[in-house]
Amino acid sequence: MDARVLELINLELDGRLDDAGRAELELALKNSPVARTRREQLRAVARALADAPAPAVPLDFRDSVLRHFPQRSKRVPRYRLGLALAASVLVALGALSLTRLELGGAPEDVSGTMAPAGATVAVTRQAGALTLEFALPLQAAELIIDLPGAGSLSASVTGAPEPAIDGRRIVIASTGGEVMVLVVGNVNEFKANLVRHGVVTPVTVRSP
Amino acid sequence: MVQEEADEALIARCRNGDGGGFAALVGRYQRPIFNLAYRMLGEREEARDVAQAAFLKALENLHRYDSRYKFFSWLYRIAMNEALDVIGHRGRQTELTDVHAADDDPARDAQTADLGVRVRGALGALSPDHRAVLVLRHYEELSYEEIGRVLDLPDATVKSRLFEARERLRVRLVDAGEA
Repeated sequence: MDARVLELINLELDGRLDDAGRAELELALKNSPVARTRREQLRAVARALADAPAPAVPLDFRDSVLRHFPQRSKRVPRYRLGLALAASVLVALGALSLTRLELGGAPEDVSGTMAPAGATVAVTRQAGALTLEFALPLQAAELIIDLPGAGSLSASVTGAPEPAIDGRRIVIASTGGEVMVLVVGNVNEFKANLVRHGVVTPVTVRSP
Repeated sequence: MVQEEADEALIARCRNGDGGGFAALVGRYQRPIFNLAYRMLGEREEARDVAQAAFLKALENLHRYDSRYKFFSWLYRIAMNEALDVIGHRGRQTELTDVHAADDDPARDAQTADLGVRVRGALGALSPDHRAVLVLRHYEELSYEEIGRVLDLPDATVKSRLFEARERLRVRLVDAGEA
């Protein structure tokens, strides 16, 4: 078998044959039954590879990889500094409530108790603002934050998509990891739950 | 229409410690990486371990990733090296005859599954170098240039190795009546 013809057959299989090469191959095929047979066999090899069934990725593969995602280092990330600064500015401007907030009663008493623990939140309270730093299991889940009280709220989130705000409830579609939420408004207490496949995991409070 | 976040943006999120960015990258590439590992190793559990190790190694070494190159080439390279390491530790060429894999989908046509087993067997009888170029070309559909980046080979070597690998596979499949 001529090496040049074999190369042309392979290039054709890979879609790399230019017009001149195609003409050269066609001439070789016309004159050589051996080349024709070899071309058919190599095409059959390519078909056999293409037709071999693809393996299914294990259903829990993604979650099993994400379980190994390392905890973020203790270094304070830049966005956290930014949020802290934003909260400080709000306080300094006195733009929000001048009323002294009741800071007692850390909200460990959250609704839903059937799921194992694992999600935690550190709380920083300032007048008219609440910063919640969540450490969540690395899996897709809804983070639901309820803030009892009255008045409108606004929230910004880092580490997750923009939240949906429904009255005094904030809903965040999270994939886990560290999520920081800055809530601005008349806020004093909150309840936070992680909901995944209908299972409610209460978020427990840790020291900031 | 929802625009998928670019790899570069997800990598930046990973570098900032955002688990969501990493989760998105795993979701995007888990199929080709698991496929690559499985085609190289022929055994699901080993493929799973290799694919997992590849993602975690990529995460650990993200600071070394050079954004002038495509992320998937870099990730494939890590996965291929992991798979070749496993093969090296086996210390022998392995016939890829994980027949259980063909049973994942009960509705799968038996003839197709059987072909899969025979192709896997023929692939497994090739050297890892030959198997690697065939897997990258035919299953991952990489170009010569992309294969060269993954395997750190010049294009000319990729071509010659690919043609040789095909020829060896042809002989095996012709002998088995598949080509």
